[in-house]
Amino acid sequence: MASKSQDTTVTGDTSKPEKKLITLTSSDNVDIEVEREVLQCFSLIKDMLDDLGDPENGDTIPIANVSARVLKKVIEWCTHHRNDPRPSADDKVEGRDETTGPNTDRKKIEISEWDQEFLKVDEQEMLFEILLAANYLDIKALLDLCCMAVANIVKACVTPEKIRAKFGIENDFTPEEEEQIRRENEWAEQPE
Amino acid sequence: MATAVSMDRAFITANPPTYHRSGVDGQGPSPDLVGIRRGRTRLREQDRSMSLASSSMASGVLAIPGGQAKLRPTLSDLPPELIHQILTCLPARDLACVSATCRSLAAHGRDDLLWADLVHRNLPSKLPGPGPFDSFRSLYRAHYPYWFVPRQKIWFSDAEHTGKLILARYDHRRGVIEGYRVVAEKTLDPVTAWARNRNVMVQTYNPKVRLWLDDPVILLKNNAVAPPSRGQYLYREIQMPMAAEAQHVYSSFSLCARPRSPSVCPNRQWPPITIPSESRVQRNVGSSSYSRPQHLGQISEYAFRIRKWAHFPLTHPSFTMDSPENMTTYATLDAKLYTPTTQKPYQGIWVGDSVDHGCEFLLFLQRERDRRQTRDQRSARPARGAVPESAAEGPSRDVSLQGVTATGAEGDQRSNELAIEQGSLEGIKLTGDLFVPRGEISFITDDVGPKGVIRVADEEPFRGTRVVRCRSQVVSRNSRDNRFIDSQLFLISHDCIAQYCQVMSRFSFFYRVDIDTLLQI
Repeated sequence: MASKSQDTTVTGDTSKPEKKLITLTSSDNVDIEVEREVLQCFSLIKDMLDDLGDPENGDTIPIANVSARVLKKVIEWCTHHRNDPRPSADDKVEGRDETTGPNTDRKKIEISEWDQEFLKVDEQEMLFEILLAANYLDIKALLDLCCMAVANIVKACVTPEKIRAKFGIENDFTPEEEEQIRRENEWAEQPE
Repeated sequence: MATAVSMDRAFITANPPTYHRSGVDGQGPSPDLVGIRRGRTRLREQDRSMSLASSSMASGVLAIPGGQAKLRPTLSDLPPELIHQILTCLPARDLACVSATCRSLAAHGRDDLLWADLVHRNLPSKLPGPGPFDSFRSLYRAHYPYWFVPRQKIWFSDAEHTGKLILARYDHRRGVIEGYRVVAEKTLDPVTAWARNRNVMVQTYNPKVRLWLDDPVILLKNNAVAPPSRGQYLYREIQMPMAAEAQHVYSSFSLCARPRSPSVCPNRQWPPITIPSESRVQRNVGSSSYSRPQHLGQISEYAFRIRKWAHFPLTHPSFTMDSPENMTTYATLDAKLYTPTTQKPYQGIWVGDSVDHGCEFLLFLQRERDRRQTRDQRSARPARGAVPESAAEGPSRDVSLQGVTATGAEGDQRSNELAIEQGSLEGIKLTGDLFVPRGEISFITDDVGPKGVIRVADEEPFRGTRVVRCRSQVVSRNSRDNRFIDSQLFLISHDCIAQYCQVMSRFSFFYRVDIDTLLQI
């Protein structure tokens, strides 16, 4: 994959030499060069570049909340998707699978093969970090994708106990509250 | 590492809105320009800083560099708007499930916007509010798992020969899901003579299509008032509180199980094989609970059953002499089958007349063309009789199809249509009669486009109308089997078609039914 490169340069297609590169500095002080074109996905940076112009030679753009590991993943995603049509601001994500109905079917929401491969991160926390980075950098399509991916993990769990285990959620209900919640949700329980 | 950072780092981390534009002159670009980025609302900025706050908090937990012992990321640590977005991707059952994990997610899961969204996914338009319910959450629960009934809207039954077409909707004033039979009355127009053959009369009519509100077929009231214990609704039937109970006629609703394997006998499937469907259920199952779903995953959202029976006090239960009760299976149609498109402009639910009884309802179906055929046509262009695709867009006055020229005020429009319209058209009976029962094909034409065109009518009252070859099913006088005879379809408009059977010297008219208007409350 073109975008899987080591060290500090993450670029897509190197055959075209005339790409303008911009350097980002991650929260852990790693400089990463990115094609300016790829940065079009990063609404936060794009707007800034549009407003302020490109940084002068030698300047870098600090990305204070995103570590190099995560930033590289994000750039990898944006490099792959840089030619996607940019969604308009009003586009609403259709998360639920319309064709199978919301009630019974547990079919996974469709995510493209490349994206599925991309999201096969070892640790769940990586997914959360990409999600947070997408939110921070204002990359809507990646944010939508990550939210769907988290939702799919939830859906695969089926019971509250399994969701707690999967995400390390602590059950902080009192026994009374839990009983009440159980009664409220009885309608949705899967009979044995 | 580059040191001269012209864009203030603090600024990129979206620092307090106390930054001002003045005061940073010459020191590189102004930090608060981001704050005035186009299209950003103040609210959005607040969201952002809120999420940043929690994001740094979360990454403190999540991203400990150097592979130290990590706490596992928890869903509830995410910024609220991200949790909300994740929850909007969940179906109701999973939403309820995730709400039962901890207090924080319980609070998020109670957000009524999520539940309103779940309700609205099943309805043609948004409700002004939860109506008689205290929240959309209660409303959703009240009709779970029956929301597919109003979502699919159109249902047709397997009642022998006649069938039945009903429309289902949610009445937000009363908080009930209801389904009514679609009926039509004819108001006959004055008869005109056909200029081509003066012996043939042209009898048009005005079909008054409406819902028969006096006698609902489905009436589902708040299910949560007397909550069925776990999953009982799956294999129980619910008796519907119909007015007909005063006449000792009772009616109940039950769910269907998704078929485990396709039925071997075509006659035991519903919908019938004439209608494309990916989910056929068994019909004629009797009142045994065998075919009912055993768990939620088995519910078919494309079918249900209605059982009707009469029970007179002090007598035996009876409905008709030979069967004490009457079980019908209803199936729905895939919206793709009845939604007209540019390529399939005739698709829809139509009303037609028949010789000796009132009106009947049909599905006009234009099947997908064979892919290979489509490709051949594309590569063969511009072949004789085939119209280049570009003709559909540009002005196409000079497009003439085997001598076919459009006339009249809508000439341009008509020839555009000609360029697009091709492929087969079938009229499949949703309701029927003893002679040609429901589920049977009423007529079929192989091509409404250039290949099927016989001529363009130049006589009254059809001047300018394309006439295409067609075959219609008729009752054979000599044998019990029906047969198809040659006929002609007059494609008057996308909402009106006439069928002419030469053998019978008779015209019959079809008109499109406006489903959406009927569904309005």
